[in-house]
Amino acid sequence: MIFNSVTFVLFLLLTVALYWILPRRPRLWTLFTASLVFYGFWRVEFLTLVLFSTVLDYTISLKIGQTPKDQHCKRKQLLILSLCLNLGLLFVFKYLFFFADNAVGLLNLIGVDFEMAHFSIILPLGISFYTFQTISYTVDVYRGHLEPIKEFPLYATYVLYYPQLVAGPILRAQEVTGQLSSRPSFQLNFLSEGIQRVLYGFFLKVVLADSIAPLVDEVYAVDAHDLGGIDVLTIAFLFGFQIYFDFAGYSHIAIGCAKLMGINFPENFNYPYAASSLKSFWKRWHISLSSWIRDYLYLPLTGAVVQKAQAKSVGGLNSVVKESTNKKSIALFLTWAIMGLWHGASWTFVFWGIYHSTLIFLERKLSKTRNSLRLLKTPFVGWLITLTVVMLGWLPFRAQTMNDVMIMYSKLFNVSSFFARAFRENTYLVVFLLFLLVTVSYLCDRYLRRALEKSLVLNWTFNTLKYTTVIILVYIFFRPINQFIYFQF
Amino acid sequence: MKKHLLFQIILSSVIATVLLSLWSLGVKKKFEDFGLGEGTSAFYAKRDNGYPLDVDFLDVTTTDSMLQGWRLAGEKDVIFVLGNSQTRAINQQKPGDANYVQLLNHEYGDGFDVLGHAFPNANLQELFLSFVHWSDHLPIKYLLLPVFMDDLRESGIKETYFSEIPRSLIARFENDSSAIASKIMTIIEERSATDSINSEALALKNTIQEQVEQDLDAYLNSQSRTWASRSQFRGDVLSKLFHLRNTVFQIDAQSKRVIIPRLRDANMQALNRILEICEAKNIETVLYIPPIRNDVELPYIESDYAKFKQDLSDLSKKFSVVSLTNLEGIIPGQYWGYKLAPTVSREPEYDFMHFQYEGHKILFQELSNVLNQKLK
Repeated sequence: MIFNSVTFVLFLLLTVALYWILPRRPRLWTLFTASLVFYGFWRVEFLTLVLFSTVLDYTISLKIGQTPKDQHCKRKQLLILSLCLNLGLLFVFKYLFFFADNAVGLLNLIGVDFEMAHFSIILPLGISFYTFQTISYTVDVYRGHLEPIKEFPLYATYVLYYPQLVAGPILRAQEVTGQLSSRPSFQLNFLSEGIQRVLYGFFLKVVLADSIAPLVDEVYAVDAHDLGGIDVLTIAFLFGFQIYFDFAGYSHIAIGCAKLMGINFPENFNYPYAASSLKSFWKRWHISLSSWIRDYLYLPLTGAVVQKAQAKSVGGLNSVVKESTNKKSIALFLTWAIMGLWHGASWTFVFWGIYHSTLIFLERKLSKTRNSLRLLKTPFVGWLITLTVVMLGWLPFRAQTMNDVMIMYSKLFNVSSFFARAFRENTYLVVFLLFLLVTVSYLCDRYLRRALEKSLVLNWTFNTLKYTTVIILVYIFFRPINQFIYFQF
Repeated sequence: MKKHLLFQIILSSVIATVLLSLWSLGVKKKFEDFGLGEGTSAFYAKRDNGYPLDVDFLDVTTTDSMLQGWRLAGEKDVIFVLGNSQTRAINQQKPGDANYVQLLNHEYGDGFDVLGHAFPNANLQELFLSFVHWSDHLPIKYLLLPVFMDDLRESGIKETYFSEIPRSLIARFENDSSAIASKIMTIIEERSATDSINSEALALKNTIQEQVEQDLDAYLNSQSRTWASRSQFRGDVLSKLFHLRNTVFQIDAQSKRVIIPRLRDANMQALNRILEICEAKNIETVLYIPPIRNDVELPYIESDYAKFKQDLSDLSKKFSVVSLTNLEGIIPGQYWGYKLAPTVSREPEYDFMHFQYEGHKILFQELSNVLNQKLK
């Protein structure tokens, strides 16, 4: 089921009502069943796959929990079994075609004549997200950071809980199982905050992201050779805004839906385009994925010891680590290449990962130089540089081929055609206005909110005006015309 | 302040409901006049029996209707008119006024049928698609083809006018190996990949939710005027934004239109392909630089406009069946009209593209002169 649909709104109303009416056990079964219905509305045949993953990790984690800690080997075997099955499924559905295609290409390159049979595989919705979620659970149980959940409906609801099932936030079990297990008393602010977040999410998705989607399609359809440098920047910023509105919109809706049931999800975005360094950007963008990658991939690759942490909803950033200095650089590049591949089975995504790892590597190496240069130290310059490199980093995310990506990047250095224009004036204007909107909304949130809190009249006037505008725009633009971009990952 | 949040949302919802209800009462704009600007009206040339002589949509129903009229009229050879809103629009229209297609049909009706396909902001890629379609269905002997410099800034195939492209036309483009035909084919393929579903619900294609959502939407449309008016609300919002943009940047009818090389090249390639087909089919073609209001400053950069005319001249010389005629200055200032500016103030402004009935008569006369020479 897609969030931006009437069907979902009715479904949400029904499940929220049942959630607050039913006692604990039927409530969990209801949420579990509702989540299956939610997923089944996309393709019912893939329910078996998500259920298989769920039952598998539930069973293996119980086994790990029952195995004494001194039997390291057996515990490790169980963990490896879980990882192999989970990642194996992910590989078959998401990467098989990509690797087979590349293998055939390689064979042809060395003179072996081989043609691949034509086939297509449907990517199960949300597989990258729920696979990571179940892996984190099994690893946490293996590490002894978590007791395995014995109650199946509780575990299954944690994995399949519909607001986060298809595109996150990627939740740690510690963050939600306690909340799912014991429902808080109903409070009106659950409703108001939930509705507020859902409204914001819909605004970002249906009013902004979906409205600029045709423009993004149009600019990416232009032959890369026809572009000038200013066009490349325009494309990068335009898609950067679209993907932000789309994914942040999804996350707001997910967080809002959970909030309607009194459940707190960790934040997934925190004004990422206001970051003044890449390190800061990755603490603000898709927080649940970057922290997952850090705790379950990067740190193990560096050889760091991941220690047990307090369970609290802080976006999965709750592991205390003693980072070893060895292997950091290799781990950085490897982690980011995998993170790129996680987004999609294409070299353009791998390139995106390497692009970011290279820049983070440089940022680390140059941090001393940067600190010694006064100009580079100013937050404004840092923000401008970070925003530009992050936006340019989105080019491979949406481009069809690496060749296109390379042509586009080369155009940035072609001084003679830098200001040659390939688009109509509106395209540049839209990008400028979106830039203005994002900047002003950040500044308002940071400075205006405090001022408004001091005056009741101002607060009521401003908020009523804001919500009225948002409600009207969401109402008239609300339609399931585009999927969320992250559904394809 | 958090305790006020729910009340603020409730109050906002009430205000939003009232505003939307009031807004829905005012929704009544006619679609065909939307792209023309107020002050200008669309005129559709028709036969006495009601069958159309010129159309704007390219779907099966419209095509059949025009072809049926042509068959009933005796399947005569055709003088075909391609065009944009200039063909269709009459400024400050009065009862009894007609456009030049209707006038041409009266003039040549004995020996020929004068038929046309025109729609606002038609670019040459669209006209290429249209021409291939009509030249497959009609015995076109003469083609009247205006080339507007404005339309060289347009690109793509508008869904509004080509929502339902006939299968035969798609097959025809598959067999055309020219680069521009491939480009158009790509657009058509992308379009046909989504044509089995309500375009408002594309994200649900091939899912169980598809039917449920369509049923719910249909139910809401039947029960709520505001829900049913949402597409018009969206149009209103975009139109207001357009007006705001024009006001802020002081864009008016006389603002200079900059040529975008990529778009111009694609359109010129399409024009070249149209003329190649005309040559191959021996269709005598009157390529003309259309009338433009020239008693005030032109909305073009002078050097761009000169180059545009030179390019057309060079191109026309490549084909033996093509003659280029410059009609840019034929209509005196008094026969042009005004339209309400697409700005917040909505003040009247010059209309460079559309003229009054008297202008249609002059254009008809000029085109007749050229045609008569070819008919000799």
